[in-house]
Amino acid sequence: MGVPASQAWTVASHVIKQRLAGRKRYPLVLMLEPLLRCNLACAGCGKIQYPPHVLKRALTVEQCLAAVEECGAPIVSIPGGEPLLYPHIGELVEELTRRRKYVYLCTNALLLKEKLEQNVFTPSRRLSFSVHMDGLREEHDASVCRDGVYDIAVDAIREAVRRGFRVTTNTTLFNTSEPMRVRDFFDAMMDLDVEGMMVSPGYSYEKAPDQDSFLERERTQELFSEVLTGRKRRWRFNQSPLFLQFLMGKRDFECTPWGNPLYTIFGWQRPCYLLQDGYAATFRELMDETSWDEYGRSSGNPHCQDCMVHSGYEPTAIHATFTTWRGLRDSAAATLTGKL
Amino acid sequence: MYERETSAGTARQGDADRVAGLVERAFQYRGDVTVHTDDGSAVTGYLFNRDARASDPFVQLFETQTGREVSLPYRSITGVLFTGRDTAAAADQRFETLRHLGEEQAGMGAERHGT
Repeated sequence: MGVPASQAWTVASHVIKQRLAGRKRYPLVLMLEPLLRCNLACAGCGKIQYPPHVLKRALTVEQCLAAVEECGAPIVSIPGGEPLLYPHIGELVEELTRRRKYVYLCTNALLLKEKLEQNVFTPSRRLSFSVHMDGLREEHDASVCRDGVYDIAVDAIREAVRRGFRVTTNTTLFNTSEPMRVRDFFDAMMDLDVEGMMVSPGYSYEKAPDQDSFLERERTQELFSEVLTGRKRRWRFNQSPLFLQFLMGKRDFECTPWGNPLYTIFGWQRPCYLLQDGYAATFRELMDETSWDEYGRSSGNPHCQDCMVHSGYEPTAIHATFTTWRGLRDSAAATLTGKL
Repeated sequence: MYERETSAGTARQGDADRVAGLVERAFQYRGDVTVHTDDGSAVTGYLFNRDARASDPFVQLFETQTGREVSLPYRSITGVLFTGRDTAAAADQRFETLRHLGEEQAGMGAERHGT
């Protein structure tokens, strides 16, 4: 298991509190994008194609903290854009950890070593760098459309681990992914001594440049089954084993689009981290006035049919883990035995 | 594709369906647009939000020149022009060019190695 016990307990107690309060819908992870600007232009990313004046915009630290308070999720993930381009990233992370939030700073790591050397961050059990790594050198550099990025990221990971930071990786798999290469990649990440790995199929962003490499649902299950069957014990995943079993086609879940809400320069994105159907001015408006029945696989929404992305299904897996005996048992068994 | 002003649309005042259609196209567009209103003025910017289900449906833009956030009701809109470059299409073209170059290089490499 790649999630520290204190963090798992924080999430479990949050879920139980929400259940006891009778809340049907509640967030687990706030996705906080202080800016959309990035120093890469990855083929599978549809999040950065905006006019320059939009890319220059950024949330203030105060806006970020207000969103965090409004949302109330115990975990804050900071994707983007590239968050290390945000001039106030050190201050933001410090404020979040001071508020006892667990922070995942998602980065391509191009600037990570530089920021570490500038002492922008302080090691904390509440801060984890989640480094974007889509595979071994060849696959990753192809995925981010720039040579040399894999080596820079590996160098930065080593430096962050050496300095005592928590480091995880986040990996998106596409239909070009080869199972044996992915397994070799997992070994390589464990050799770097990262705390855990996060892996997910890519979402078919309509605005992404490469529209040919997204996985359909059946192919996702085939690929993850090939990759994760006979999982090595040394592979640590920073995500729910039930979600990994879902990716392998071993269990069926419905999406929880409100589980990982996104706050960005446009407001609270409806309905989820991936689909852009509009923006709410407040978190309450997002939760109360979004037509949730129109989303998720069972709704028949064509945009949701092939989606198996962690931002929608990890919350379902977490909910299943902490609200059903079977979920808890299966999760514990997978954690203890290492078998998925 | 990169759409120019020719792909714009206009609407007669009170033609709510036509306005809703124009707004939807503008919302999906990843470039700046110019929204004309019934008082003869126009706002140019990135249309980042619209709410057709609100009691008084509205659009929201970030103005290109000032960065100011502007909200306009659907009922005031008389036309929408696609006046900025479609950044998603531009990214698409860049990727296709890179892919084409990559395939060419791969082909040249294969020729050099006699495969």
